[in-house]
Amino acid sequence: MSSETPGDVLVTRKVTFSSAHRYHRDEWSDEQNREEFGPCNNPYGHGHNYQLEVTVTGPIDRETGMVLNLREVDDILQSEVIARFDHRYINKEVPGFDDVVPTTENLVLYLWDLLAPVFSDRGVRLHRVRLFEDPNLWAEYSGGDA
Amino acid sequence: MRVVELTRRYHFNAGHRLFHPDRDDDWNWRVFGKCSYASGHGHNYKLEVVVSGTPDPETGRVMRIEELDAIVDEHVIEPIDHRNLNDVLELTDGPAPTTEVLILEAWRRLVDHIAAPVVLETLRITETEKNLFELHRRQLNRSRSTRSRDRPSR
Repeated sequence: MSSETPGDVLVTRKVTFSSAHRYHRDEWSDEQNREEFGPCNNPYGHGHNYQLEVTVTGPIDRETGMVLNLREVDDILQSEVIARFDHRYINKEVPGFDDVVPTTENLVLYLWDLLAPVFSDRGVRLHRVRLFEDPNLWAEYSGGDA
Repeated sequence: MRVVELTRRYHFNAGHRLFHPDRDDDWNWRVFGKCSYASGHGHNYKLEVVVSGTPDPETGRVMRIEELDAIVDEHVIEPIDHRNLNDVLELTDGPAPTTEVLILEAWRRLVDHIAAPVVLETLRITETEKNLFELHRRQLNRSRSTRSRDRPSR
């Protein structure tokens, strides 16, 4: 019975940001872009209200009863994510997307690479990054290869 | 046989105050902020209980929902709903009823009441729409899930 001990607690914080993006590859013809990406290729871009769920885990600090103070999580998400993405055109304004199509999949990998070392510095582990482009489409990444 | 996970969602409302009685007000304000206001505050908590097992070939059920409801009601909802968590929790894993401390205690209260071969797989507690806490079963006994650590907080 007691072999069923739980693991560490997972703590998830949800934040939102709004950004514009466009799916386009410069080296492709207009027709090829249009065929592959459909309306996501429209020339002036379009936007989403993204919802980001960031999950961290680690032992509970006995002094505070917390894995990590949510205010620290908020500060990190504000400076690393919101400041970088909110009300920006991702393709043009976020470093790293000049040659990378800002799909939800690529965004979630980018956010993982951005956040994993920051949380590691705070003594906790990034467990999962889940990004909703809209309520019906999301991508998530928990590290590692297939 | 294939294993199916079954999730049942419950609600409870409870008050709490995040406060370390052995630390001064400055420390508590720095660590817990508004959550340390003297008279406490409350949340509408959502609790998701996930059990797993093989559906019974006769009934098609992993577990009788009525039985799960009775267990969760007796050991978690009834003793906690509309109460002050600072009073009713044992606070084994920390000085105050954070949701981390709450979810570990809920696990301990439930795990031995889920009769084999069904197992308690996961607990999830939503404190506000912006916070979610999860606890998943591990087969092997891991190192203690708490630690002492000197970490500055804001």
